[in-house]
Amino acid sequence: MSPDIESRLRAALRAGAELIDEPAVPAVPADFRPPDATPAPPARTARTNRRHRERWLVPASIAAAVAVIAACTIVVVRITASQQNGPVGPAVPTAVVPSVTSPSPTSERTSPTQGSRAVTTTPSRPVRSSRSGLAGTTPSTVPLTEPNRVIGGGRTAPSPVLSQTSAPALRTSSTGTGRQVTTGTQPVDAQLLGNGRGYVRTGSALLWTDDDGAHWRDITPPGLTPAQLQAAGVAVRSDGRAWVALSPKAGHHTTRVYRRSAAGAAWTTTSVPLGRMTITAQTDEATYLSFVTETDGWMMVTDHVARGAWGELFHTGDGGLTWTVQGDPSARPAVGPIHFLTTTIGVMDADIGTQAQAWWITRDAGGHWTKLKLPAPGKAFQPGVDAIFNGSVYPVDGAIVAAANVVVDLAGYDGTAIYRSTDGGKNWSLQSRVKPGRLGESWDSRQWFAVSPDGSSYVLLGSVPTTDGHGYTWVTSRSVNHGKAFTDVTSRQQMFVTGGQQPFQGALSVADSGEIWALGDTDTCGINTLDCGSPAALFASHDGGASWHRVSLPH
Amino acid sequence: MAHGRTVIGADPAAEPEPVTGGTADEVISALYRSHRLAMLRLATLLIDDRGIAEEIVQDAFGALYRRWDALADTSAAAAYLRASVVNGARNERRRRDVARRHLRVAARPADPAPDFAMLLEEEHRQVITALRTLPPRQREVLVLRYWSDLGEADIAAAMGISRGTVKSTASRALHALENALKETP
Repeated sequence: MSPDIESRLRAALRAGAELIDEPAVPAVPADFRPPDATPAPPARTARTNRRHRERWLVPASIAAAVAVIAACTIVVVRITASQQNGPVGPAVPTAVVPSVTSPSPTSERTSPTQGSRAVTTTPSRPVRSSRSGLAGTTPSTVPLTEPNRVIGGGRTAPSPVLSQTSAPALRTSSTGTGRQVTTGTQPVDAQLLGNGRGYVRTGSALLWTDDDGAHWRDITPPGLTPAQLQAAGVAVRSDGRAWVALSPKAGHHTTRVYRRSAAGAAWTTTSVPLGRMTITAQTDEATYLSFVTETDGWMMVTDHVARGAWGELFHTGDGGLTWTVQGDPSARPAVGPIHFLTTTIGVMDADIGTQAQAWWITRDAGGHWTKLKLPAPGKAFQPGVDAIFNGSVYPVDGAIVAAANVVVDLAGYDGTAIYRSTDGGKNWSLQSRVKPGRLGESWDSRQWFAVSPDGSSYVLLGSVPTTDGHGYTWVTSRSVNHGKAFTDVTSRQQMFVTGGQQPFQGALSVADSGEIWALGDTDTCGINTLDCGSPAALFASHDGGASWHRVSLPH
Repeated sequence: MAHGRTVIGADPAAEPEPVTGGTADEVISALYRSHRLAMLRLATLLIDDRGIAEEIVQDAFGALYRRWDALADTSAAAAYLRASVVNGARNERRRRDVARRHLRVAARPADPAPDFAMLLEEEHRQVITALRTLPPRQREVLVLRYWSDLGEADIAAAMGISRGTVKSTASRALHALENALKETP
């Protein structure tokens, strides 16, 4: 790729945008006018309804009062006319007036407030769950071909793609910075930690299981909002130790790290000074966390990623109590999600759209980073292409195994290349190239790769869009000889593996037992469909990928 | 290294949200004044047709208005508008496709708005023309990245796809664009 394609595109888009201007005489008013012909009551907000009611309430009250007074006057006149000596005339009308006017304002004022702003639901804790998502279906054999999206109440609104005027489904809230995040019980990332243990981060909670997902415990640090949880870095170990590092607020000079020392232990917090870093970000800031032992961890705090890489890397050697700045940010080529494999070796995935878009590797615990160069997997591979995405890196038997989707030509689906390094990531050799299911060609294909901690299972999940563009075909492929040969273990299924929001982890994880977790969706999403990006559900397989079932997450 | 804004004419929605407090009407009106042009440009870059783009943007603000109470935080409004515009452009493409398939007629209106690309310098026009040959999602990711100036997470939110998909789509889109430009005489 020539280096100037990005600048050419940027310039062209800017020039094009500048031609699109407001007309000299605006065809539309400068203020937004909500459409009057808005259909149906729920379309108008409760607040607006209230205002509208109050607006006509005043004249209505006056009119009522006038009518009553007029009626009274007539009555009084009649009374005085018929009983010229009677003293009781005005007593009746004064009793009538309040009964007409007083009840309506109070009742009108209170009722509309109910029902508005009832958007987020907080999970009850502790929480219960069943193994399978669908009530009345058998646990391990839920057919993945039928799209069913109401599991766990994850989706809060219907897919928006159906009508011209609809807007995106509001299954989002905000981090306070304009970034939309998943809410509810949709999993954001998930990791199987072995021995039936694992964690899931959903839109609103951090969940822990120690029985393969049959029961879940809500371990969200107290007081954490869903938005904070979304933007936080999360690390959980199989012994139940866990860390949650918040993304600092704009203008703040510290960030907060939650940690707990064992399953069931209480959370404690540490305030980490950001040092020379000042958070200016309004969009896109995020914090990434990676722990390799119970004491050694790294935290990347990023800021303003969209417009220039800036971030600070911190290291802790005491389990998150104290943190020190690691490396010089000005010498660091990129910022992005980090993933450490040992106490010295780590990888970083840079944000898109910069020359730095690549994987980077450190061999001195984050002091220095160099570009991770993988050899071309085939002759047609375009030289200079940083086509590393949906990739994963695992430490296996003292070596490092990396996998990446391979782009050989633009429209091509060329499977996944698997590499191995035995010298700490300096040199890599191509171990195999795998194309699960020998699926067809599409630019929109992808695969996910994971290795069990003991190296006994290598698993690949591959998908390509179906030919009609309205779904994905998806195949599980597994190797039990350290990646030398893969065998497809499932037939083709309609399922879409979306992966989590965190690179290197969260999409797929494999335990030594052969248990597999993946985040995905069975929705009929396709190239032309909007709503298939965020994982809707956690899927699990107990038999090495031959059969899959949805795991129900608590509400 | 945390640059200030240097890109002129880019999406102000990426800037800090100046709107504070006020009623839904007031806040949305303020958003309309500050964001309408950027959204109109975004929609036009995605769908080419200025007239349709106007409708998409109007619908996006209408949807924002209807959803206002459900929006957890008003600072999410810009992101919500962007996602609405991307979605609106997709719906329009789908509508055209359906019309083409079933009616076997071009879905273009009888009197389409003039194509802004025709007014561009040759160099820019080539790029925009090449951009239009890409699959829709590739085009979306490039416009959001290189015009709206968004990062990975915000593009993922606007397009409703995961971050990994943003990256792979962007990578392929840039290469596809470059190849399309090579084929241009």
